[in-house]
Amino acid sequence: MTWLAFRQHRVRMVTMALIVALWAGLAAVEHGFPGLRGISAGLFPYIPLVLGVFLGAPLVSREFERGTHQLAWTQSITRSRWFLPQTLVALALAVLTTAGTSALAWWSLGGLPWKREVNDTLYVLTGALPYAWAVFAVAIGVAWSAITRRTTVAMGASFFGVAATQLIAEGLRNRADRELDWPLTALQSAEAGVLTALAALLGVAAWWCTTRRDPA
Amino acid sequence: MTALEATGLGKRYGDKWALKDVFLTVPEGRIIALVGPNGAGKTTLMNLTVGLRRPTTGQIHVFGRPPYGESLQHVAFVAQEKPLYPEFTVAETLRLGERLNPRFDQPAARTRLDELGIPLKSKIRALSGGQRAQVAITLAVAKRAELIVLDEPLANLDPLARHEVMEGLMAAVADTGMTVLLSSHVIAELNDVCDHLILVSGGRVQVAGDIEDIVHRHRLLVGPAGTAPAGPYDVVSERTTERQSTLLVRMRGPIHDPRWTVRDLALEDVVLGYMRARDSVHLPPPTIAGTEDVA
Amino acid sequence: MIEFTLDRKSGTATYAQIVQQVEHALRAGLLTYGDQLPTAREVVARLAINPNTVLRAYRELEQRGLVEARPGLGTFVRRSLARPHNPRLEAGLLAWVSEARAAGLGPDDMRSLLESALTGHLRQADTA
Repeated sequence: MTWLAFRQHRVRMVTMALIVALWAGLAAVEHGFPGLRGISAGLFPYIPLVLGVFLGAPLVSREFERGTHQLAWTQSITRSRWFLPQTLVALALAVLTTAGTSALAWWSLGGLPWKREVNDTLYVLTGALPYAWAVFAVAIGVAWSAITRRTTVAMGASFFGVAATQLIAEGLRNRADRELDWPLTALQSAEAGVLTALAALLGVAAWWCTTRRDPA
Repeated sequence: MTALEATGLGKRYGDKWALKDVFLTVPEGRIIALVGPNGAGKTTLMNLTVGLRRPTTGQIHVFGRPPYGESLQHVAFVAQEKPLYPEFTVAETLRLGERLNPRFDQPAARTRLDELGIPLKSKIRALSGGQRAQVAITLAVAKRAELIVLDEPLANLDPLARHEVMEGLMAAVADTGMTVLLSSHVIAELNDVCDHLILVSGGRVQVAGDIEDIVHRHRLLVGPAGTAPAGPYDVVSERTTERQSTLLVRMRGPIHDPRWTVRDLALEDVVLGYMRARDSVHLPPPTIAGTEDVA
Repeated sequence: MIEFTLDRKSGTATYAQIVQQVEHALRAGLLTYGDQLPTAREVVARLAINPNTVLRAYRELEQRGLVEARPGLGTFVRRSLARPHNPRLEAGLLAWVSEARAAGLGPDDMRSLLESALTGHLRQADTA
């Protein structure tokens, strides 16, 4: 099943590699022309949107749309053993893409000091937080994928889901920063923790819909 | 050994029963035709058999086990659209089979595709409809399951491809002795192939049994209108003109009535009779036992 | 080795058609003692029919003592039905056919004549 999951993610692996390559180009330009600094870091919050839409949303629904669930789910394995490798490969790909792009964005900022503010671009670029966003975005994509069974609908729902969560998270973290006297790293960890917990819930929902619901 | 057993099996979608009160016992080694009008519940019964759907009521067993998880190695399935991953090559498709099935017979699958002249390096999307059907069926056969379920395997194929698909399937049966359940709404194409029949209509199993038995037990009775022939039988369907009644009956014993002509039927006539009757027929018992003799 | 063909419209059961074709081949001398019949797999791979049908036909031929199944090897002819070549009978029949044609009989008329002569003769033989 792991082989199948890797094989089915081949195109997405190439796509993600291209995104990282694009990011590298952008970061190199910023490095050469300090006046342009901050573009890749500023664009970084869009990465989770891409991950949710392109890695999460097609995962289950594409099988339904092509009827291949009737092939994949009638081999000698349980649907769980089909679902888990698929999700893990998507997550791994999301984490690798995040590692690449966040490191490049961070590097492009060069000598700029972190202002240690919640609004600073570096807040979402460092620590566990970017990875938590990646995992959350994929999870919301997979959940919508398994619930709606329609890739386009799942893509739209994941896009708005991730965007809305980002807005809410921004509001909450500003408020928490004002009302609680926590160091920013603790705030980052708390946000990452909440996102990971949400991702886990979404993952269970997606797993339940895939393995327990009858196919349409 | 029983290949397929359903007890009180039912499936409901929303508030509509797609299949209800199904009791079936199909012995091993049969080639079973699942026939019935479109929307009768054939695909639902097949999906329940291969574990894609779960029953609303009752149970289904394939070789004594419910068809989920590990037990899926005992049943192979080819859906009507013959779904395969279009971006895979033929070789990758076989690899999928090998990775996901403990008993997968890769050499046999390669030999078969070689016989058919389907190159392993081709992408699935580059194959013709007939070739894709062959790959899908080869994949399912190579799983070495005891039961193979094929939903309308011949639909959308040209006559030559139909013949080739059946040849390959029957050769595989000769090699492995597997039980085959295949659906079709064209009865003529099943005549030389199947030896067992399950007739579904209106969500119910109307007849199930060995084809010879079924044919042997049904007769066409033609006689004067307004009378009924003497003898033990159940009427499946009936047509009456002013003077003449034509009854398709299931015999329970010999019929001796000089006013009525008793005619033998071909399988197709029996099936059509049940299909015409639709859900007006609820003859107990739904399964034909096949031991007692009728005239 | 012989090859079977199917007449799907004849109404004769498939297994019976196979039995008939083997018997015919035995009579015509196409099959003789020791010859092997095609395996069930070979037959179904050509005709796309149920393997059990072939096995059933072979069982019937075995019961008639015409063939025998050797496990693991195949099914072999045990007895030939070929009659020794009889040129006198053949010449007589040919003469009869040309006489019938001269009398204005078509092939179907001749066939039905032969048919009724056969049944009449056989019935006489039975009652005798």
